Amino acid sequence: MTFFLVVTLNGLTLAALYFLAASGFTLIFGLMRTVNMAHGALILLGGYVGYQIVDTTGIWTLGVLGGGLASAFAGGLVQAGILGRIQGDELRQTLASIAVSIVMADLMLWHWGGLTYQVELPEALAGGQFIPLLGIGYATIRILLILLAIVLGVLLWLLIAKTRLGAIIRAGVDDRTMLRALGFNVARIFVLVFALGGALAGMAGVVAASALSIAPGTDLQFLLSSLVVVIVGGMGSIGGAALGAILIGLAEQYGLAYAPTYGVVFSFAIMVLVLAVRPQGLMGRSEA
Amino acid sequence: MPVNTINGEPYALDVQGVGRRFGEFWAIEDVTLKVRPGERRAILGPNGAGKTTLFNVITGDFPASSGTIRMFGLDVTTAPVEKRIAHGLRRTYQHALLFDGLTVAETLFLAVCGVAGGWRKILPLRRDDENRDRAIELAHRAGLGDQIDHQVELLSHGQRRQLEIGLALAEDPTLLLLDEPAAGLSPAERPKLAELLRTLPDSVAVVLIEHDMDIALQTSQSVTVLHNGRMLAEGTPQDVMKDADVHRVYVGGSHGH
Repeated sequence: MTFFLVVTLNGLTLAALYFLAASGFTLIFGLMRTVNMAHGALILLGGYVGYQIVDTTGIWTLGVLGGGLASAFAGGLVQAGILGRIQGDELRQTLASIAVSIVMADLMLWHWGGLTYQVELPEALAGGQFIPLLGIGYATIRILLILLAIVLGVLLWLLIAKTRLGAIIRAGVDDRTMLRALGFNVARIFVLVFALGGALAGMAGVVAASALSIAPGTDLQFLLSSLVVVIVGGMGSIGGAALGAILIGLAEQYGLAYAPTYGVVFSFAIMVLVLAVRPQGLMGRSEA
Repeated sequence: MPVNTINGEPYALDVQGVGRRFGEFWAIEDVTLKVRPGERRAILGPNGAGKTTLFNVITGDFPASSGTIRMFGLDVTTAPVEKRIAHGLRRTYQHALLFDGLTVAETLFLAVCGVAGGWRKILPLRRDDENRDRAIELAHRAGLGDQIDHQVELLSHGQRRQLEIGLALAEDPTLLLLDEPAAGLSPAERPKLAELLRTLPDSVAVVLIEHDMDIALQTSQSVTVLHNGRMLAEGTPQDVMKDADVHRVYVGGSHGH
C-alpha cells in the first residue's frame, strides 16, 4: 500500500511539473495558434538563471522569480522580434521557433557548459515531511511542487475567467479581427501573453532544477512532454493541460513501477488513444 | 487643392482618391467620398464592386495603396486601427465576427475598454464597475437587456446583429461603418434592426453598405455607387435611381443579382 501511495505521489509530482511546463505552452497556442517549439529552451533558460541567482544569493524564491522573469523577457523578445513578424503563417512560425530553440540551446551550452546543475534547496525544503493523512513521509520539495502547481493553476484560471486581460485573451481566441476592431492592439497583447507563457516556463525550469536537475537536453524533454500533455488535454485549454499532465504523470510513474520495461509506452499509448477517439484532445474545442 | 471642409466644418469622413492594390489587381481605385457629420450615406454596388475593401481601407484593416483619408480633419491614412477607433470610428463586419466564448456583457465590456488608450485598456486586474455599467447600458440600447449574461454562442442570428451594433455604439462613436447589417436576417428580425438603425443618435455619421437597393434608398440621404472598384454615381437616392449607368449595372448588366 505504501509503495502504491509513493508511486501515486511521484506521479502527481511529475504531473505538477508537466502542468507548470505545459500551461505556458498551451496559453500561447490557445491565443496565437503558434506552436512554440522554443518552449523547452525557455524552460531551460529559466532553470539556468534561477540556478545562478540561488547560487549567488541563496534565496530560493528569488531564483524562481528571477528565472520566470528572464524567460518572460526572452519570450516577449522572440514574439516581438521574430514570430510576431510572421503572424498568421503558422507553419513558418513553427519552423522559426525551432530555429530559435536551437540558437538558444547553443548559447546556453556556450555560457553554462554541458554540466548538470541542481538548484540547492533552502533548509526548510531540503528534508522530508510526514503526511499524517496518508501515514507516509515524502520529500518536502515535491509536496511544495504539487501545491505550487495547484496554486498557479487556480491563479491562471482566475486570470483567464475573471480579469480584463483574461476576457481579452478569451476574445482573441475566438476572433482576432474583431478584437482589433474594438480598439485593442493585438500585436501588443500577443507579446504580453508570450511573456506570460515564458514566465510560466521559466518558473517551471527553476522548480525542475530544484526537484530534479537540468542539463543540455532537458529543454527537449520538456518540450516533448509539454506537447504530449497538451495533445492529450486539448491544445489551448488550461484545464486540459492540468488533466493531461495528471494522466501522463501518473501513467509514466505507474508504468515505471509496475511494468518498467514498457514504462515509456504508456504515455504515448494514451496519446494515440486520444488522437484516435477525440483528436481535439480531452478538453479541446473542435475547429469549426 | 481639394475642398476639405463644409461650411467651415471638417467632413466626418474625407476619402480622397483612395486606391487599394492586391498584387497587380486594384480592388478599388481613385475613390473619393465626403461624408458630413451626422449624414446617412449608403454605398451600393454589385458583388465585387469593392465596397468591403473600401471599409477595410477606411478602418485601417488594410492600409491604402494610394490617396488620403481624413476623419474630422485629422489625416489617418497611415494611422493604426486603434488610433482611428479612439478618434470615434466603429465598424461592423459583413459576417458577424463575435466572441462565442464570452457573454454579452463581457463582449460589450471589452468594447467599452477598447476605446481607452494605451496599456490602461489591457492591464487593470480590479473589477471595473463604471465600465461594466456602461456595458450593461449598451446591452439595453441594443435590445439585448434580457440576454446580458447569455453566452454569445447561444444568441440567434438577429441578436448577434444587434450585439454587433451594440459593440459599434460603445463610447459615443462619431463615424459608423455598417457592412450589410440586415444580411441573413429573417423578415421578423428586420424591423427590430431597422428600428435600432433609426434610433442612432443624429451626431453619428453612418456609412452603410447594403446589397438591397430598396432598404438602402429608404434609410439614406445620399448614395454612392461603386462598380468594379471605381465610383459610378453619387447623389440623392432619387438622382441615383434615375442614373443611366446605375440602371445598366443593376438591371441590364451581367453583374446584377
